[in-house]
Amino acid sequence: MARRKEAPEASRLKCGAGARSHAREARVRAIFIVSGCFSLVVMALIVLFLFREGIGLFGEVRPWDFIFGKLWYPTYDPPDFGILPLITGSLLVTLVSSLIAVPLGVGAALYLAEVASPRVREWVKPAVELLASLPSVVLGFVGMVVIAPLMQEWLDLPTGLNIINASMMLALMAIPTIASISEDALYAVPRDLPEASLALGATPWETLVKVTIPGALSGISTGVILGMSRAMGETMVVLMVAGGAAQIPDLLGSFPGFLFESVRPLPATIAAEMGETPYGGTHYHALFAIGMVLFFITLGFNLLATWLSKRFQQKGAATL
Amino acid sequence: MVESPARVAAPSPPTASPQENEETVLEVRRLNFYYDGDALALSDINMKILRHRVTALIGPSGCGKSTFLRLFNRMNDLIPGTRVEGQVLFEGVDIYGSDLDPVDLRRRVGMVFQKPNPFPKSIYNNVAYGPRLLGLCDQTALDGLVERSLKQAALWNEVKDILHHSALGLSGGQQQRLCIARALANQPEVLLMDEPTSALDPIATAHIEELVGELRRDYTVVIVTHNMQQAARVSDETAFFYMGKLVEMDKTSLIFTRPRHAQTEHYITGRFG
Ligand SMILES: Nc1ncnc2c1ncn2[C@@H]1O[C@H](COP(=O)(O)OP(=O)(O)OP(=O)(O)O)[C@@H](O)[C@H]1O
Ligand SMILES: [Mg+2]
Repeated sequence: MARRKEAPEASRLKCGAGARSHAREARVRAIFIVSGCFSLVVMALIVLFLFREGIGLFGEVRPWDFIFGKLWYPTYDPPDFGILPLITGSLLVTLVSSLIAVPLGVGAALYLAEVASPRVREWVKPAVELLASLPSVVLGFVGMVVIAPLMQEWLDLPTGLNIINASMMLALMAIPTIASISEDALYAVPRDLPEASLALGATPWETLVKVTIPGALSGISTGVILGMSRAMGETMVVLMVAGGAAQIPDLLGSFPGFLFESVRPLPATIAAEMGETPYGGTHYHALFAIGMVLFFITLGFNLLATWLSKRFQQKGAATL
Repeated sequence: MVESPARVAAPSPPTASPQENEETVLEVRRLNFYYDGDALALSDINMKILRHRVTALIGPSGCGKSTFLRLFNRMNDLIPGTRVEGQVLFEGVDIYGSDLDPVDLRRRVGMVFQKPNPFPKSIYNNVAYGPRLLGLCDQTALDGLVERSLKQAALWNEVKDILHHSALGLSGGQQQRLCIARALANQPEVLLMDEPTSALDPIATAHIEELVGELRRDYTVVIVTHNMQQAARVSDETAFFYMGKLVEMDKTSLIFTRPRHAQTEHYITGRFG
C-alpha cells in the first residue's frame, strides 16, 4: 500500500471500499490458513501419539522378530508378538479383492464413459457412487449372515468366514472408488485425440485401447491404488468376515484352496484386541506398533499412487 | 479487391462450369444435413471435387463449412442424432448409401483438424499410428514410410534427430505439420483440412500453405479457411457457403475477380461475415 503512505487522506477517500475488501480478504486468508494448518497439526499429533505408544514395544521385542515373527500369541506366557501372519492376511485380502475389484471397476468406468448412452450414465453413475456410501458394517453383516452360511453349506467348508468372502465384500467397497475415479479420467481425455484416431481409420475398439485408455492411465492407476489402500485400511469388514485366525495360509500347497482359509488382517487385530488389553503393557504397545506398520503401508500406497499418476501422465513421457 | 492468386495453374476459359472435362473424385448430390433430428445445417448442396486440385471452402462462421467437410469421411456419424439426405459419391460409390465401412473410408480420406492434435506419443509413433493399424510392422518399411511422410509434410529436417521424443514438445506449427504427416502416412487419396492454420503464426502458416501447394501433385485436397488471401493463394477451386447453402463455386481466380453473386463479392471484399 505504497500509495496510501504518500497521500493518506486522498487514498482513504478514493479506495475506502478497496481497503475494506482488502481487510476482508486478509481475514478470509487467515481462516483458510488456520483450517489448513488445523488438519496438518492434528495429523502430526496423531502420528506422534501413534509412534510414542508404539515405539515402546521395541524395548522388549526386536523389530525383526516383530515384523517377521510367524506367531501372534499376545496373551500367552511367554507371549509371541510376530505379525507376519497379520501382514500376509492383510496383503492377501487386499490382493484378492483388487483382483475382483479392478476389472469390475475399470470395466464399469469404460462402460459408463464409452458405451452407455447419456441417459443410462445419468442413472448408473450415481448408483455406483451410492455403493460407496454403504456403511462398511452393513457389508460386513451381509458377508457374515448371508454369504458365509451359503458358502459353508455349498462348498462344505469348516467356516464361511474366510479370505474370499472378505475379499468380495472389500471389492464391493473398492469398486465405486475405482470406477468413479477411472470414469472421470476417461472422460477427461480430450475429445480431439480419439477423433484424430478415428479419422486415421482406427476402429472404435483400437481407439479405446491405443488412445483413450493410455490417456486416462494416470487417473485409472490412481483410482486403482486408492481403491486398494481403502481395502487395506478397512477394518469392520475384515473384522467381521475374514475369520480372525492369525495364521499364514499355505499358498502354494493348497492353491487355490487358501482362499477358503481364515486370516486376521492388521486392522482387525487392533480393533479386536485394543479393548481387552491393559493400558501400557507390551501387548498394548504392540497394537500401536501394528498401527505404525499399517500407517507405513497406506502411506506407501499413497506415494505409489502419486508416482504412478506422474509416471503415466502423458506430458513428455511419450513411451506409450 | 483481393489480389488475384499467383498459383492458379493453367489458365482456362471462364465458362460457367469448367469442371466438365475434368476427373471428379467426390460428388455431392442434393445433399441435406440435419443435426439433432431436424436442425437443418446444410441444404440442397450439389458439388464436384476434382482430382489433384485444392478446393477451398469459404464462408462466414457457422455457415456449415466444417459440417460439410466432415461429411466426406463420415466424421459426423460420431455425433448422435445427425441425419444425411442425398448422396455423397466417392469414386462413384455412395459413401452413405452403400454398406461401405466408415473405417475403410477414413483410411482413404484423411483429415487434418483445426487445432493440432498429435497423440501424446513420440513423433515416430504418431506418424506410424495409421500404418500400424493396417498391420504394417516391418521396421524398415515403417521407417521408410515415416521418413517419406515427414518429408512430404516438410518436417523431416527439423525432427529427424528427435524422432523418439514426445510430439508434445514441438511447436504449434510443427505439431500441425506432424498431423499432416500422420494423415499422409496412411497414403490417402483425399486430404480434408479444417482451418489447418487458424492456430498458427504467419511463418508456420506460410509453411503449411506452401505444403498444400505441393500436396496437390499427389492428393486431392479440400481445405476450409477463414482467410481470403489463403484461399486465393492455395486453392484452384473455391466454394462459397452462406447459411447452410452453397452460393457459388468456381475457379478461384474467377471467384476472386468476377464473382457472380453479390453475396460472394461482399464476403470476399470483407463487407460482411
Ligand atoms: N454438434 C453439433 N450439434 C448441433 N449443431 C451443430 C453442431 N455442430 C455444428 N452445429 C451447427 O451447424 C451449423 C454449422 O456449423 P459448422 O461448424 O459447420 O460451421 P462452420 O462454417 O465450420 O463455422 P466456423 O467457421 O465457425 O468453424 C452451425 O449453425 C452450428 O451451430
Ligand atoms: Mg468450422
